Amino acid sequence: MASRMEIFSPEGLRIDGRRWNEVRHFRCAINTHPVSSDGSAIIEQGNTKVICNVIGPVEPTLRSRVVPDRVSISVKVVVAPFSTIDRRKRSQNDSRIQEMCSSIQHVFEDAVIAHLFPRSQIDVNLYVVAQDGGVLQACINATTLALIDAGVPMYDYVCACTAGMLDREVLLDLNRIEESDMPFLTMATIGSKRKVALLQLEMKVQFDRLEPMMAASMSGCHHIRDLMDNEVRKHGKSRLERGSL
Amino acid sequence: MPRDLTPSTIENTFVLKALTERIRLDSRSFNQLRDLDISFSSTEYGVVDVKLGRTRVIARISAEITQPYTDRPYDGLFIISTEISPMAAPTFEAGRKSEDELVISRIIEKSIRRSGALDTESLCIISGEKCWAVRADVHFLDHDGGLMDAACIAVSAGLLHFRRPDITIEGVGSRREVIVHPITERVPVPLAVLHVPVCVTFSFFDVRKASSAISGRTRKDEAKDVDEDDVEEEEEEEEDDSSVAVLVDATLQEELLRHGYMSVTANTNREICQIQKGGDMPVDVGVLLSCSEAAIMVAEKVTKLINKRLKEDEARRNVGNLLVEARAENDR
Amino acid sequence: MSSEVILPGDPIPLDSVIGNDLDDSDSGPVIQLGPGILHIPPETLLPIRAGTLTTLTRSKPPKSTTIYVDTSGGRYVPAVQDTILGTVIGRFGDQEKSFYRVSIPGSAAPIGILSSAAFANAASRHTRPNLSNGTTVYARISAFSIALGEPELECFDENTGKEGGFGELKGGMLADVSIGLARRLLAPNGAYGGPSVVDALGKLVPFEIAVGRNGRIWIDSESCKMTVAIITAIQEAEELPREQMEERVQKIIKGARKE
Repeated sequence: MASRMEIFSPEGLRIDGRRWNEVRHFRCAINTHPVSSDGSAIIEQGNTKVICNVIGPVEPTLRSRVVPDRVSISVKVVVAPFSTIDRRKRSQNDSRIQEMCSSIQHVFEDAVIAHLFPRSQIDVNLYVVAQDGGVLQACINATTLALIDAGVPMYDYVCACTAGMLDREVLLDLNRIEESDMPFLTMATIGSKRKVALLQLEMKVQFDRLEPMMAASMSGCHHIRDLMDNEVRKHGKSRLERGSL
Repeated sequence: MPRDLTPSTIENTFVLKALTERIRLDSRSFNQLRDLDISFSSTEYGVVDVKLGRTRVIARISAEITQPYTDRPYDGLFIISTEISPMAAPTFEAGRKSEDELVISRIIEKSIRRSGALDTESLCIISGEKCWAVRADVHFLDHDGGLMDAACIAVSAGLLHFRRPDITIEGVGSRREVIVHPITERVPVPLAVLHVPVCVTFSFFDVRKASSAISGRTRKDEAKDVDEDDVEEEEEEEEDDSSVAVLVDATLQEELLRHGYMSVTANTNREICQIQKGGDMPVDVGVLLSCSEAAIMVAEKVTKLINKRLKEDEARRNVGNLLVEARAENDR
Repeated sequence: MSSEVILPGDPIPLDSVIGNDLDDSDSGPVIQLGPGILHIPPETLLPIRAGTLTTLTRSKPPKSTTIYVDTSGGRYVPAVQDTILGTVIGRFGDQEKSFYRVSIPGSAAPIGILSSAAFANAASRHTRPNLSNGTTVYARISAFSIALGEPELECFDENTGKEGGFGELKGGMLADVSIGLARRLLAPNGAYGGPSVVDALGKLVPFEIAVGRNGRIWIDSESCKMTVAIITAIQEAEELPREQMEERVQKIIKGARKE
C-alpha cells in the first residue's frame, strides 16, 4: 500500500503528476477494425486500453435472445492475460466480469433507440488489452464510440468516469494504484446533462463525501464526452474529404 | 399462486397512472418499507428468519476452523453463499446462475464482505496456520420483491446474533494446539461486527411514460434539446424531479414494471457502503443523492429493529441471569 | 347447501348429504359428482382432494344434488366454458387467418390460442380486432383437453353471438386472487350462502369487474384510488368471515373516499 504522501502530495500533485481534477491522457480512435466488425473503436485512458467491436443489428443467433419489440444487446468482455503485471488468465465466468457485462448491457439497452430494431441483436465485444484502473469506464466509453461507428441510433453519448475520495480530497479518473487505495465510484452519464445512467460505488465512504465525488465524476464525464465528440467529428471530416462517407 | 412474469399493458399503464397520483398498489407511501419481521432461532445461534412483506429469507451463520490463505496469514475467511433456488420463485432455475442472481450475490458481497462488516483479522487464531472460516448461507424462501434487501438484513442480523465456540491455545512454538470448548461448556463468543450494513433498493419509474404509450418518444424529444445553456438546464431539472417516481422496497409486481433501480447500502454511521445503479433509466444526480440520504434513514430504522429483536432474544435465553455470570470477560 | 372439511380417503357421509327424503321417491335421488370425487362402481364415492365437501341442491332434475370438493388453492386447470383473463403475447398465421397466442397466467396449460375470427362481428377481415402484444382479453375456453395441449379461446357470447363483455379490456387494473375466490365470485347468487364481497362493494361504489377462473380479476372504477381500494377489499375479504367482511369493505371504501 502506498502512503498518502505518494498518492497526493502537499503541493496538490498526484502520483502521475496530475492535479485532482485532471483526467488522464485520453486517446481514442474509431473505425479501427473495419473488416471484422460493423463498428469498432480503441480507447486509451492513461495506461488502460480497451478495444471494442460491435456487430449488428443482426438476427439473434439464439432464439431465446429474441425480444419482440426491441433490440437486445449482448456484451462480452475479454480480459487479456497480459493486461496486468501478474500474468493470469481470467475465466469468462468470473463474477466481476459477468457483472461488468450486465452493467454495460443495461446501460446501452436504454441508450440506443431500441424500438427501431425489433427482434434483433447487437453484439458488443470488448477486449481489455491493458488495465491501469478504470476498466469499466473505458469499456463504456469504447462501446459508445463503436456503436456510433456502427451507425446505431443513440439518444446521446454515454460517457463514464471514476472519482475517488482520499481523506477529504476528491481525485478524478483514478489509476490502478489510486484505485486500490481509496473508495471510488464509477459514473456513466448520458449526454451533457445531469442524467446518470450508471453509478457504482464499491467501498465504504461517508455520506457527506458522496456529493463532491459525484460532482467531480460528472464533470469528468462531460469532459470525456467533448473529447469523444471531437474525435468523432474529426473522423467524419476526414472521411468526407476522402469521399468515403 | 406464483406470479406470471410478463406484465400486461393494463398493469403497466395503471401502475404508472397511479404513481402520478402518488398511489401504490398496496397503499403504502413512496418511501415506506413493508412490514419487516426479524426472528431468531431459539435453539441455534446465527439463524435468522427475515420477512419483508411476503418476501422471506433465512440466513444461517456457521463457523469452522481452517487454514488461512497463504497470502493473507492474519485474516480469517468469510464466505457468503447466496444461491437462489426455484423455492423462491419458479423463474429461478436450480444450478444455473441467472443474471438477477448474479446481481443479488454481488450486491450482498459488496454490502457486507467488502465493506468490512465483519472484522476478518479477529478470526485469526494462529497466524498462517489456523483461523475461523465464517460462512453465511442465505436461503431465499419466498420472492415478492426486495430479495437483496431482505438478504442483507438477514446476514447482518445473523452476524450479530452468531456466537462461535470459545477456544484456548495451549503449548508453544510449533507444538501449539487449539482447544475448542463446546458451547455447552463455555459461553460462546460473539463475532467482531464493526458496523451493520443495511441494503435499500429504490425503484425508479418514468411517469412521463404514462402519457405516451410509445416508449422512447419522450426521450427523443429530450435528445433534441441537448445543446442548451445552463439556465435552461436548470429548468429541465425541475421537470425531471417530477417525472421520476422513486419507490422504496418495491414488491415483485413493481420490480417487474420499474424502469430502473438503485441499491444503496448504508449504516448508522452515515456511511455508504455500496451503491449499484444499473444502467437502466438515466436519473438526475440530485435524485440519486437524496436516495442515498434516505437509505441512511432506513438503515437507522432497521438497525434499531435488529437491536430490539436481539435484546428480546437475549432476554429469552438469559433465564436466571446465568449467561452474565458465566461470561469469561468482565465489564470494563 | 352444506359444507365440511374432507380429506382424501374419508368416507362421504351420504345420508347427511342427501337427507332423509329417500323414502317417498320411486326413482331415488340423483347425485351429480363434481371435481374431487371419484366414483368406484358400484357405489363407493371417494374424495380424492382435500377441501370442503360442498353440496348444491338443484331443482332440475328433481331432487338432484351436486357434490364436489371445493379448494381455494392449487393451480388452475382449464375446462371448457370457463372464462379466463389472459394476455396476448404473440400472433401467427397469415392475413386471411391469423391466431393470437394468449398467456393464461396461473394455468396448467399456460398458453391458449385465440383465432382472430373468434370475436363478435368478425365475419369480415376488416372488422376483426387488431390486438397488440400485452393486450388483456376476457375470453371463454371453447375447447380443451389435456392431451391436445393448448386451450382454444373465443371472445363472444356463445348464446347470442354478440360481444357480451368478452374481448379486449381497456383501462382498469388486474389483480391476482385465489382460484377458489374466482370460482365463488362467478357462482350464481347465493350459491355460497349470502352476498359475496362483490355485492357488498356494489352497494357502496359503482365499478366494473371481470373475473377469470384462472385466478385473475380485472377492476375498473371512477379513479385509480378507488380501483386500488376495491382490489384490496376483494383480496382481504377472502380471509374474513362474512360479518367482518362487510365491515372491512365499508371501511376500505370509506378510507378511499375520504382523501
